[in-house]
Amino acid sequence: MACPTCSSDNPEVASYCHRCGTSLLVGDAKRATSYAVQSAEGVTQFAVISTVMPHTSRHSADNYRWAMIISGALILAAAALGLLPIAIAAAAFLVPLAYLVYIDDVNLWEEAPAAVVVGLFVATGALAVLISMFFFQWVFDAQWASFASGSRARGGIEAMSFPALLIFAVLLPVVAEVAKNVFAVLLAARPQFDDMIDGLTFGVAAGTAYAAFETIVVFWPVFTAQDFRTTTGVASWMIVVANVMVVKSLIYGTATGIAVAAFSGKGEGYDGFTPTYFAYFGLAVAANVAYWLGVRLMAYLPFGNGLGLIWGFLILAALVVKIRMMLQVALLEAAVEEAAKGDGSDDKRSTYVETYCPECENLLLTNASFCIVCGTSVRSSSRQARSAMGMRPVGAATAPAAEPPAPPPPTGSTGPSSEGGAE
Amino acid sequence: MKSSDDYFNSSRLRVIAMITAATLAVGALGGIAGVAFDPDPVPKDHVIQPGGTARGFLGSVGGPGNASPRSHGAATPFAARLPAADATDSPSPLGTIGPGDGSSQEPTDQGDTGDNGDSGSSGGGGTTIEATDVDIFVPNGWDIDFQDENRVFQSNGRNSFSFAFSFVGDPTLSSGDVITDNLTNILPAENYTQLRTSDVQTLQPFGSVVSLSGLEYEALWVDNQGSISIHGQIYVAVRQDGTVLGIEVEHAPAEEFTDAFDEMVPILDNSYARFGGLG
Repeated sequence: MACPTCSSDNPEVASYCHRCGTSLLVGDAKRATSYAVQSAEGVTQFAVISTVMPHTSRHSADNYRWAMIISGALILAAAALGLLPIAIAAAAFLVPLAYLVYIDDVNLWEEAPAAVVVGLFVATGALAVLISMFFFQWVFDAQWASFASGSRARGGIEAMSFPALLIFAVLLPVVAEVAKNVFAVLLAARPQFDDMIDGLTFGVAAGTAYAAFETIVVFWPVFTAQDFRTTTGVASWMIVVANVMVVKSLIYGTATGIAVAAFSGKGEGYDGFTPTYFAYFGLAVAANVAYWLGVRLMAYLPFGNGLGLIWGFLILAALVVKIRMMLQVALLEAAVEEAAKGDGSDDKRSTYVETYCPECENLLLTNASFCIVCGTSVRSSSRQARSAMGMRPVGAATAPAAEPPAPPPPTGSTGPSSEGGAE
Repeated sequence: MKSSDDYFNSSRLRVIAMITAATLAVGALGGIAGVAFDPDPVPKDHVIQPGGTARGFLGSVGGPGNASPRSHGAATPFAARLPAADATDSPSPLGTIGPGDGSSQEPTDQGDTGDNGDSGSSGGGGTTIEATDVDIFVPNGWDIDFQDENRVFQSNGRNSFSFAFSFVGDPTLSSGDVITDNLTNILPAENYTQLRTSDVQTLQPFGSVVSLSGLEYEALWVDNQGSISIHGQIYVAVRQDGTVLGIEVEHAPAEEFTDAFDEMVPILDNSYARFGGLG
């Protein structure tokens, strides 16, 4: 059966084209319902784990869900007990820690993660500390304190300092977004990390690292308070801890992920500072500004902290859906472009040997970019899975694949080229 | 054939254990930091005798030893309350105060009352709370950030703030009860956590003031963007004619309150002196 998009030959039983991922199911030509990264989910589904951790499979994503549910419950329990230093520190670093474990779990860049990701965390975290100290303690401390003293009972929003609002809800998010992008973009410009999913991963890592270190700075009074354990305002603190733990961290991460993914671009090599990158950078800034403007203004309403948390969830949901749509389009379009260039034997992002889909465990054809049964993109597979598929490491300087592939089976026109294969 | 689980370095149990253990470890570090970075407590003995006549600290009215967190719910219903920002009706059966009509006067750098006396201040102006015709001193370097018919909020751009409110109540009102009953209004529990207060200190009335009280507090203010340690004081005076004047002064961070207090004292001294007919 010939694919209507790229004309590649597919088995009659195929539900998806193995080269370009086009749905071969009747009435689903645009593949609007099946997410290319994890085919069991819809494109516009609000699924955080599979969005920010695209190399997980359906099963392994559950591991992270459970880990974060258990850890989150422990953190909220600490907050409920009034143990604020414990709750805030753990909440700040829950998502970054989970992300580090994820990168190790999927062995994303072979031996690189330890140096690359920890370096990215530390460098971005150091910037976060400097910028946060500059805004909250060194230069604009009076404007920051004005939010506390000019609260609802003392004039409310009419007493709000407009310059302070601009500083902390507009200027700071802009500066912070630049800082979050700096090191992530530097890494995404390296040839061995040029995939859009690499860019997304660096962006999420940098964004969550920034959020964690900023949280420690802005909630530093928790660590220096007279009382180690608080018994008043616990409900407020539980909301704040939930916000810090999930919403703020993931808004920062997903927004920066979108920008850096746009820097990487959809195909081979990175796109760089294109108008598309700046458009998505602007989107990331707009998301952060909208989040903090909402938080600041809702603080003047009854139950303002709770409303701010809900507002953050809405922003996060929009960002998650945006990433999924972005990856969906990028994976499909890049595959179509590769398919148009040839038979896929030179495509370093397609399988080299027949192997098995990490998602549904059905057969993956040689030179496939997608599973013909579930439609999952092989580009979203873990490093180990890609080694088993015989996919060549990206970039000349990278280490050889862990498992040299078996000699390619003689499959006619879809066989590998002589220079292909894992080093 | 490889199972999909073989494509990951870690088993489910290992992933959950690593993330949970790392979270607990970071939480433990936070706990250690919480113990290690405890600053010296700021004494709550700054309450003064306002009015400009007998400036002086009254001594401890509840230092760290007796300043444990307390419940601030009013034990008995009390009529006079501050106009809350989210209130729609005046809660006071006295019918003398209300939340205002929503309109506020344009903030001004200096008020319109001109002479406010010079009771030890380094100069300044003033503004008038419209509902009660009570003058509030605005020292040089302070700006009015908000004002309506019952309230004036001013700041000095160096983390010190003052909030004044006034309404007409019953001349038999106890100033201490006004503080107690309005504490959660002035310091909303949603934001002012870890609230520790001194006892309400009864101060010496003067002039036409028949009841005068003060209270000192410290709290950890919080919202979704961050937290700030705050130290402040609340004074309330009741005049013979039933007019109530409350002034709150506040500074962040808490540990700098002692140094900043001198800048706030003229507001208290001058405003209460004028209020009691001494200014």
